[in-house]
Amino acid sequence: MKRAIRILLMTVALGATPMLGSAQNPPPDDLDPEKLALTYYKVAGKAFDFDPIANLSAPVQSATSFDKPDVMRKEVARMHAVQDQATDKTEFSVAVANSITDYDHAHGEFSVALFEAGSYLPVYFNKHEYRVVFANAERARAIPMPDKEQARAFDQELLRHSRAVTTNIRFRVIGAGDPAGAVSGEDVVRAELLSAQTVDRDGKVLTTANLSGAPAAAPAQFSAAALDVAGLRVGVKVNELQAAIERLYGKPTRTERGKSADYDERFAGYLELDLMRCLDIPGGHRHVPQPGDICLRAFYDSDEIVRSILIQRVFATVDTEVVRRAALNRYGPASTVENAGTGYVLGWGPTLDRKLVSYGGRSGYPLTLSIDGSVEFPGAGRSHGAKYVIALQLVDNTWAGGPGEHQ
Amino acid sequence: MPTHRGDVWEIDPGAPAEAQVLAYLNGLHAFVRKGDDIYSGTTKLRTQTEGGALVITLAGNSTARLMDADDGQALVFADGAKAALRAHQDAGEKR
Repeated sequence: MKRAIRILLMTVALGATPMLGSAQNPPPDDLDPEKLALTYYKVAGKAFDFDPIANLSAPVQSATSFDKPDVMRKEVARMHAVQDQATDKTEFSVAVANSITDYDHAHGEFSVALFEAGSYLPVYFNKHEYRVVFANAERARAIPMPDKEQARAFDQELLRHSRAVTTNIRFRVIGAGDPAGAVSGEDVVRAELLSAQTVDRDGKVLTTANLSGAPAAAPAQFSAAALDVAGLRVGVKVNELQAAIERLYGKPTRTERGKSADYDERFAGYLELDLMRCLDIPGGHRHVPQPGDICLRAFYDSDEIVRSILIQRVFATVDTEVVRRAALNRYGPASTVENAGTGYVLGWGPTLDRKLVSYGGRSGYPLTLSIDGSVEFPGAGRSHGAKYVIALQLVDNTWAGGPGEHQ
Repeated sequence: MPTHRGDVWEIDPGAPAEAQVLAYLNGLHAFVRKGDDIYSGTTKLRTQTEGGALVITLAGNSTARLMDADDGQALVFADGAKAALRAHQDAGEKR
């Protein structure tokens, strides 16, 4: 859990001083936190509870108890009007107090810190933080400078102001979640940069992003059937999967659905390589997970077609940043990232009925990757040392249909 | 995947962590090789021979090279991460 959970707090420099001598005039600040939050809820399709927010607003708080109901109604109507006008084309602009990183000798470039993976723009509305990430940040990140002498001179100029710069950005809200899989949180606002220009404290332009090319807001259609997890696919006959598992990992058990089955009724049974073998239980008299161990459970439907696969592998060490980069390269931009104390989870695709995601599935998405540290029970005796499990789960979203009860 | 033909290979669990992660995510932590064909689970991977190595095409415009190493076979990913391979342990030994 290194760079993936790094939080680089940026300060929103509302009302920043106009930049003297800049090549282009920066856009005027237009980042109303309420407007951004309401746009985000609308564009991301998330429900917004107007009443409690309106109740905390200044007009309602300052109203007499006699007037409060009327003021409250007006405030809710006003907020609805703001949200009604919001679209995914609504633009925001702001000057951000930012910095330029140290020189990257391996790649011959500097980076604009705001646009590095793991960075975000915090915006506060109603004492709640909205973390704005940019889906096309990579296009604005690098300041290539392969010439070392030029880079040295540039670096010295940066040091005059302790590497502090101002980045003027214009963006629009396109959804939720960090496609780079690095910023987690309750409300991660996915935005697309429309322009980005970084200037030093003297107003001299240091870099202007070239944002031409495909817009960031065009995610490819997700189809689990076109993917695999560790080589295993949904949509194949269960006998085919069973043969592959047996050849590679050992003989799985096959359990047909019984009367007491507690998994989703659309599944007719499952194959399993004991999931308990990947749990580390110090002091137990059972198998101790070893690096390289594989655990697996795959559900099939009444036509004996595999519809859900969960595979887990034990690792001695895990660098979350390595996993994040490899996973994004493998599966493309993520829909969500969760980074709680219990582990790290990436999700891809549209939301899915959670009833289909069980036994280790950690998010309501058809493709998930999760990293968990070893489970150790307090007072259970000796520890087997740190171990990690990387789990991959794939659910056939085309077969499953819509999101069901999960949103 | 061939149920009997070909050889089953797996990544050495002592290989560098980055190579193990790349292998796992691409289904190359355990696979069947039959001639120039590579089967990863229920997926057949695209391959081509190149300078004595078998180049495996991976998702995300990436590749891995299956090649001879000092002490056997190794898998080398495009970014340089390298992992030794070992013959698959008998299923009975493993579980």
